[in-house]
Amino acid sequence: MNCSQFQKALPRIMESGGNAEETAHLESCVVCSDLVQDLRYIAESAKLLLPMREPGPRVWAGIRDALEREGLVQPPAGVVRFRAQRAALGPRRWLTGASLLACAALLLFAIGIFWFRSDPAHDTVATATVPVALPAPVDADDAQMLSAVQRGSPNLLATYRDNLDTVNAYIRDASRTVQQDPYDMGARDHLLRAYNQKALLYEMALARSGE
Amino acid sequence: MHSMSSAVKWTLVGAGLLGIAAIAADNRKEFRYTVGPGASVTVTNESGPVEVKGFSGRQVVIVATSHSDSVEVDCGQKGNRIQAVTHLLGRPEGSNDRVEYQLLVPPDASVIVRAPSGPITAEKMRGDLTLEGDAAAIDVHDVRDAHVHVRTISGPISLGSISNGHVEITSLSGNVQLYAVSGPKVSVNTAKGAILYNGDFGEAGDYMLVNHSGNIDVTLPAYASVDLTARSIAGSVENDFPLQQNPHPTFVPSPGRSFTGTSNSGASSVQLRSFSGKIRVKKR
Amino acid sequence: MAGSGLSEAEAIDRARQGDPESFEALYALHKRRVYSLCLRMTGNTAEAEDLTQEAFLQLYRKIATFRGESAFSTWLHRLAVNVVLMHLRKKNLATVSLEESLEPQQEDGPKKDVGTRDNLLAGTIDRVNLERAIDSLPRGYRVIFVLHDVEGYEHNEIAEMMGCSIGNSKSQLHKARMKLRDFLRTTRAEKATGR
Repeated sequence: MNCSQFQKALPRIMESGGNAEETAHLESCVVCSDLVQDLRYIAESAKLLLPMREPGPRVWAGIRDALEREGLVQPPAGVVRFRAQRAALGPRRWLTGASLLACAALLLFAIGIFWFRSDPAHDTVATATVPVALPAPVDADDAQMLSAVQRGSPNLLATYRDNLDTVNAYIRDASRTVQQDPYDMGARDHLLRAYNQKALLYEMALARSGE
Repeated sequence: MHSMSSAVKWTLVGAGLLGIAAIAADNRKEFRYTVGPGASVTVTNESGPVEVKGFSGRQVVIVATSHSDSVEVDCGQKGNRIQAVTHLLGRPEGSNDRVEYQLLVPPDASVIVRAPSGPITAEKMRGDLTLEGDAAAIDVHDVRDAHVHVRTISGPISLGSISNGHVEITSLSGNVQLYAVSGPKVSVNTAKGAILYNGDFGEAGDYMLVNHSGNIDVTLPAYASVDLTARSIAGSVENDFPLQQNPHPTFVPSPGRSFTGTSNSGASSVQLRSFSGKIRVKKR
Repeated sequence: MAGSGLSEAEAIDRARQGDPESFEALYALHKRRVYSLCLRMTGNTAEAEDLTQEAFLQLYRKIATFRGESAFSTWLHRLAVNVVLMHLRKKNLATVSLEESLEPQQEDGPKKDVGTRDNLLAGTIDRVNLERAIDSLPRGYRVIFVLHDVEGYEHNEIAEMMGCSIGNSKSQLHKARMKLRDFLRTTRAEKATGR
């Protein structure tokens, strides 16, 4: 087989491989081998092309006008706004601290203690009221975690603080309900999940500190 | 000694690799590795997006584009494991520390990505995915026969066309959207994030969608075969999907707070649980 | 979807009811990909903008028919491809029609020599040069290359969309890649000589 014959078969070879003769030629011919490598490289590079370009503002303006003309949208009462893209977060340093690991362990320990003290029972529907609120768990550790975030990744402090509030609220709500009705398996499940979510918060911070 | 160390260096670069090309063009680096079946690829990127795409063949291609000298991209192969890590060399410089990763991997490779700011995207994969980002938006599409694990703190999560694997999603406040996601086990947990599911709960799977205060919205077709239970402890439930009453319900439904029933043969178990959010089930 | 508070599924549902915010949310989410596709296939920014507009208008007109058999992005992408192909078929100014450009052409004589061995392209292509090279392709080759190598359509899908045979699709793709190779090697050589 010569180069001309090989290259004539190349469209098929590129898609589904070659026969023995073609493979032998490829292995022995540097010109054809280089050609195949180049073509494969071009194909692979193309796959990495991102959709980088944005259309001009007239495109959306045209779409909006057409939609209104065709009655596909209701005439807006206010302005149809573009929601701002979430701001890109800056880089963060990974947190360090065996104390964070201790906090995660403490949370899981707290789960174990709670579970040990409770009696399993039938699942019933509980009505949420406002009984005596249990204290939010591990406040000092939360403060320590936030301090570590502030030192290492100040850009993420607000995110961590907000989500700490979120998960603590989850724990408080579920704890109240369980305290009111210890036999409510659904509420107990929520409480366990709430603690797991808090452990996730600590773990996400801790996991990066070790890298 | 200098020539020896150079020889050793080049030997290490070439050993076990075929077709590798690691040339820095401006701030763009490209790495290629040949791997066997079941390869493992891990990417850790402190700032910037990571895109992963399954691509036939046995090469892992990693393209990393950085924009400053204060970051270093470190890629290497050990056997069938590929690892790419972004190192910050000095003080954080904000958006200049961003590195953009694009990966082409064999579809059967398992991939782990940790990228706090992301976004992270993965598509056309048949190997296990573990994706983790604090505030990263994570988007996964077209994954079959593989497990998908996603964790964020506030980043929104979107999954589409996932089947025949375990799906485990956890976020504190990120919204989670699942479109045409089915498998033997699908589990979603958020605290404040809303959960939206649009699909048929297929594959006789075990589906658990749970949150604290976000809403859970489920849209499913009439042909879905489900044994469905929905309960909101302090919120509300609405059902617009025809269900047959369970002859032996595991709990007594409470109007407005919980309901249960089956559709068709009840092949899949679907549990929708919110603490104080609203659960809505609609027919597609 | 980041920033809008609307998930894609919610935006689709609301768009069916004519909610303007959801139209904009869907546009924001997909505009870049649709526009990049149109631009790569046509090589002309004004045409690409017009086609992007048309693709989204068709999307909004047809959104009620979206059944969810495929991912929404896949459905939209296919719709955009069809819009571009329809446009290219209608546009037969002084250019050869798309189908004609895809007809099997008179083969050149078998090449006995493709030149002496030169440095491989591997590792030397950056995005800008590759985009430029794609822009330089004749339209028919560019369409096939973009659909297959950039956008990931299979030959059977391309053949169905273009109304050609699978063999034709493979052949034209190969020619497109060969032309790109020539362009990129020439560009590199010019750079090396400082031209």
